[in-house]
Parts: sequence; structure tokens; C-alpha cells
Amino acid sequence: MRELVLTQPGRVLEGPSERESESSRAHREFEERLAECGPLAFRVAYGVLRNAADAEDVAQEALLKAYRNFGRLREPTRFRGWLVRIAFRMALDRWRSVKRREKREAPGEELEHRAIGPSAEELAASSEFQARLERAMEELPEKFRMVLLLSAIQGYTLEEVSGMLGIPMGTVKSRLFFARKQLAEKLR
Amino acid sequence: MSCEGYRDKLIDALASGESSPAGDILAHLRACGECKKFYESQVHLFGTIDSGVRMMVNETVPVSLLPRLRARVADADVLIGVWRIYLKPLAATTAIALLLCVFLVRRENAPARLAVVPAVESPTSKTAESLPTREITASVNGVRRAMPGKPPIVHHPNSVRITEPGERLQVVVGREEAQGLVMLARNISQHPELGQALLQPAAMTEDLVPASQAIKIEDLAVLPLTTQE
Repeated sequence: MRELVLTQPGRVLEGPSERESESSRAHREFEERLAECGPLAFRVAYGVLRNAADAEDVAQEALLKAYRNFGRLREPTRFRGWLVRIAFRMALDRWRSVKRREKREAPGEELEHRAIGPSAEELAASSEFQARLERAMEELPEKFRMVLLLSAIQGYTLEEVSGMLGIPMGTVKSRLFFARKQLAEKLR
Repeated sequence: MSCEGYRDKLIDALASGESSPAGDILAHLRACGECKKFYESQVHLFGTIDSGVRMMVNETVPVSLLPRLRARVADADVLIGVWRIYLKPLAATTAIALLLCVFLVRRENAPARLAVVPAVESPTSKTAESLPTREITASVNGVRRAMPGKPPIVHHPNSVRITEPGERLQVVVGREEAQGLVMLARNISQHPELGQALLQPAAMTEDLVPASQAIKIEDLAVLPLTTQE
């Protein structure tokens, strides 16, 4: 005898993705990226500016910009690459504007190539060599400098740097090679 | 290979991050004390560069970074919401209203233009009496001058072609008359009183009406057509 089972179609609950609006979903995704990308943006900016407060400002601006453009940057690698580039560019802009202001305020003086006056921890950490290294870094072409900074950030391999910047691995290696070689020449 | 050549190779190897130099360089280093010293100094230099760069970027991230950013993102969300709900439709409506106003104002003030063209027979010609009253600008040597006041009706025995509003109004005259009309328009532009005088209705008196005489044909001969004609 065949068993007859009566089933009543229950009300299918809407999944969270259906309930959520597009904007709140984007907000949640962005929040997930923050833990990784916030420090990344800060470190890139710090590598250029050498000042924690300024680097924090730049990182926030870059992340906010990324949030506004998040609709077309959802793919993680693309997002990271975009963020790194924008943070680097914004940090350079700020660094240049500070430098210009310093030049205006103290014409003729030999500038200490720093974005802002050194903080206490910077003074403690810096040595003559570190100051020379910073100056040498500033003279590097931007593309070499960016690869050098990114490859020095803890936790990022050269493959990841290549993915972030959207350039082949060979290009990353060659840029790193020239950056290190030029630095060594300046510091020898 | 000279020591200089080996040193260049050494630097390249260190810059590319190789852990140890190639076999031939190693052999030279064992044999040459100067180059070995140079190598050690370069290893130290590259090591210091690497640690210096690492120090530059691996700064402790301030704890305020993410909370401050979240607050700014929340502010941005509010702004975006306000923009989407209120300001965007308001801006769109304002823009449309402005465009409409500009269009209406321009339409009101759009002058008809008077141009003198040589007479050409046109099937679409209308008589001057059917002209609408409108402001007329005279275009003389490329300079348009508006004639203020109640716009005159352009009279011409031949024809006046009415065009669409905003288009150039054409008075069709004979070739020999075109120059004269251009001079008239120029004079009117320079002497507004002349234009006003012209617009005054003339008193029609008996003297001004030309006397029409019947045509008299006295010697009329009617001849038959010949074959040659």
C-alpha cells in the first residue's frame, strides 16, 4: 500500500541576502575587509609620510573613498590593489604639500626630508642611517618605491603584491631588484 | 674577470635577494680577501636596508583608526541617504524648472530677424497683411539691431515669407531694391526717429490717390494669322 504524505507548503523564509538591501550588504562586506585593509592602507601611508597621525588621516580618507566606490571594487584583490594605490597616491600628495609648505615657511634652509616634525617614538627609533634611508627612498621612482614598501609589509608575499598591483610577478621582482640596488648605491 | 666585475655580480645577487652567491663568485671570494670584505659589507648594507624599510612600514596601527573610520562611514551613509531621498529629487526638479524657465524666457525674447533677399518666386509666400505683429531686428553688415516699440508690419508689394518663430523673417524684394532696403534698415537703426516717422499712419487724402485713367485704344486692327507666324 502506498503511503500518502500530505505536505503543506510552508512559508519559505527569506534568506538574509534577500532581506538585506543592497547598501547594507555592501556595508557588511566593506566591514569585513576593514580588518585587513585598514592596517594595509595605514602602513602604505606611513611608509611614505613617516608620521602616524598623518598616515592615519590618509588611510581614513583612502578607505572612505574606497567605501564610496565599493560597488565596483567588491572583488577582494581588486579592492586591495585599488586601496593601496589610492593610499600611496594620497600620501605622496600630502607629503608633497607639506614639503611645499615647509619650503615657503623656511626658504633657503636645508630641509629635513620629513613630512612632519619627528615624533618622540620616531626620534627614538631613527638613526642617522634611517634618515638617510628615508631620503634615499624619497628619491626612488614611485613604482619602485611602492613595490618596495608593499613587499616589506609583514604578511604579504611577492605573489600577493603582484596580484594587488595587477602586474606580473617578473615585474615585481625586477622593480624590487632595481629599488634595492638604487638604495644601496645611495647609501654605500 | 676582474674584482670589479665580481663585485657588480655580487651586488646584483644581493639586490635580487639571492641567499648565497653563485659558485664562481664564491670561489673568487675564497681567493680574494678584499672582495670578501666588500661582500660582507654589502650583505650588512642590504640587511640594514631591508630592516629599515620593514621598520618604515610595519608601524603599529593606531587603535583609533577603525573606530574613527566606522564613524565616518556612518556619517557618509547618512549623507548618502539624505542625498538619495531628498536632495537628489530636489536637485533634479530644480534643474528641470530652471531649464524650463530659461527656455520660456528665451522663447519670449526670441526676435524675428529681417533679412533682405533678392526676389524669388515662392509658392509659400503670403501677403503682408497676414503677418503677425512681432519685434523685428534688422541685420546690417552682420550686426543685428533691435527696433524697439510696437513692431511694424513689413509691407512689400511682392511678397513676405513668414517663417517659424526664431527663424529669420525674409522680405523678398527685387535685386535692384535690395541695396536700398539695406540702406533703409541701416538708417532706421541709426536714427530711431526716422523709424517712428515711417510707422506713423499716413493721412490718405484725395491728392495722394493717383488718378486712374481708362486705357483708350483708338486704332485697333485685327488681322488673321498667317502660316509663317
